[in-house]
Amino acid sequence: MKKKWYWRLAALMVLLLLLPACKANQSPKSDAGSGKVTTLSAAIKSSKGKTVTFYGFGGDEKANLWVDQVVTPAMKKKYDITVKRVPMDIDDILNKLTTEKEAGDNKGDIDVVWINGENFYTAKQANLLYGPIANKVPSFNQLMDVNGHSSKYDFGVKINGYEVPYGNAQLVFGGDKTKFPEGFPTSSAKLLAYAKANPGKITYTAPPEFTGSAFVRNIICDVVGYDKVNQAPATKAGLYKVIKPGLDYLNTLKPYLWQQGKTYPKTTAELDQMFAAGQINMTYSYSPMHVAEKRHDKEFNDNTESFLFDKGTIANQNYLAMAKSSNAKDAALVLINEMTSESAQLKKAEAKYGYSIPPFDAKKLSPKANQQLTDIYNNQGVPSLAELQQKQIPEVQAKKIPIIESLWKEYVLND
Amino acid sequence: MKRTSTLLLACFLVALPLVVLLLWTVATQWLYPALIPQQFGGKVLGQMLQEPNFWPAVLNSFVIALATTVVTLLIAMPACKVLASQHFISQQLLTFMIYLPFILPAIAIVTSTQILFIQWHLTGTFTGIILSHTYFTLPYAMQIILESYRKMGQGYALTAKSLGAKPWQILKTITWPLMAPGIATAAGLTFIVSLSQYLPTFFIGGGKIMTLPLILLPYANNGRFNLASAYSLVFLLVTMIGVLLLKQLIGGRHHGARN
Repeated sequence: MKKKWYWRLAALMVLLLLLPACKANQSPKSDAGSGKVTTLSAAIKSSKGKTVTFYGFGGDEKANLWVDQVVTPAMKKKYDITVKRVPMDIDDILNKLTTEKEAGDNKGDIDVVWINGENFYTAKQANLLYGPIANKVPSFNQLMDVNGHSSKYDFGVKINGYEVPYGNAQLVFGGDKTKFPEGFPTSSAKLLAYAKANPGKITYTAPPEFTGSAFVRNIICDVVGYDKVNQAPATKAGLYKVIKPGLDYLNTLKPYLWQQGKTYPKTTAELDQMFAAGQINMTYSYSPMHVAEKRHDKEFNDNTESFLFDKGTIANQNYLAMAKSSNAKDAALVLINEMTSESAQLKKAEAKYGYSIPPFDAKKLSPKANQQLTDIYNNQGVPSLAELQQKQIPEVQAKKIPIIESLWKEYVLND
Repeated sequence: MKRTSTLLLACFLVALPLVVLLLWTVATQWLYPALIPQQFGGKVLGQMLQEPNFWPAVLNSFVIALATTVVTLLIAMPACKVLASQHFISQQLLTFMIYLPFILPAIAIVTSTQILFIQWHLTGTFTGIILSHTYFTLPYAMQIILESYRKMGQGYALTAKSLGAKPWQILKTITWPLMAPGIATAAGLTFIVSLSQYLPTFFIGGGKIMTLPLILLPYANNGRFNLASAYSLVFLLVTMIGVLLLKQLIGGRHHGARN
């Protein structure tokens, strides 16, 4: 772990050294020339025969399959554009984006990025993204709630059209109902009581693992109240004062965790495996349809059902953005539009591709599409769309997330 | 008797991780605390073969590793010949210099290389990837070949020269046969190191050129052990084919290996 840190620091230093040198000879016409996009129809015309890259998380084989089997063939057939899917962790993508920007505009390999939250905040701060693009994507205007909160803010960061919503996510718990005879723990207090009665049967993935970090934030919001966390200053000392009851709660919970909280699973896949094996009684996911998906795959048994906290669970969206250094912005625009189109997204909502929930506005969809999406919820122990929407809390602001993660490490992990 | 049991133990220790990889690959259900998977099937293999980048990645990995080996040897052989016989730089300082690429952080080197390579239009090309791999494989090859040159000494070559042999004759009939085991080891190691490179392939290749580690790592990092295991086995197979092929080509037979 420590070694990795070292490397990043060294990389950062090199970049910092290069930064002033590159700034000096950068001309102001950075957006001009081949790298500019005007409208989708113009982009379709100029991008024929081009290759476009899609960079994003590659650890979900179903999402990968969807890109390979649905998006890529459609792009080739409709627009004669070749799609290259590059599976990559977001830290590496941000590193590469930074380098490509330093090398000058319109020369980079990265075209479309799957991104959200603190990574979007970082990318936007460092001016790595091209935009605004949302208003040029017809799928966004025609199918989504353009004035909705998640169209304007990503983890509290103003989007300003630099991202197009791509998928919905909400933290959802899953449990085997036979192991919760008194009902699922729908609050942090009930969860603690359950853990005390069943020591070693609960655990969570250690932040900064993406979903584990959300679990910790969700617990903190449940204990302290979302509004307080939202209004807290984004400094370590200020935030600590506000979220201390939440951290105390996690410390109280710690001895009753799996392995007495001395060790945590590293990925949600491990968490799922431990749950499926009956080592622990509860799992969670950012995908609201997770339990249905796993039941469909026969990995979870049919007694497994989803539940939420009464006060709500953290919900956010993930997005598609365009790299400022992209050398095929026209093809990138066509790809973003295709990936957020009704036909592609409805496919993504199928079991085969992981039951992903589209970021669409129900009022703008055809009755048939609406019916298809509603039907997904009507089975296999997942909360209804209405319940999901009712029990939602927004994401904590992006810049507070690394602070909360480091406070967790300091006061819970190492305590 | 004792020798046999030691040998068996060694075999067991080598085979155990392989067996686990194999089991993960063919398992469709493997839950704690079962020692072996509860269900078997070809689902994972199917998923792997469905990946459109699978065959290109295998081919690219192989070609890049092979080319890197050739480039590395082309640089390392003459360089080591000179370095082994010179007295300007102390051998200790030399070792330090050879190991420098390991001391500098890879990410710093890779990111700054990318900036240069973008300007030289080398990103997204095989040439760029092979060059960046060579940087990381050279220390291994140099160290081995340098040692081979030192062991061989200059005596044989000098004798041949004084008898009127041409440089290429010396290389063909004296240096190469004598050094073949060392060269074969260096080549094999270079091939393995190049094959497992992730950062330079990603940064310089930009995902336009896929290799096996680029597909494998996201799965391994995110706990998809079955897919990661399947790819690891393919990885292993490619490595073995490559190393054996190089051994055959170079023809290095260890002295006294067959007596």
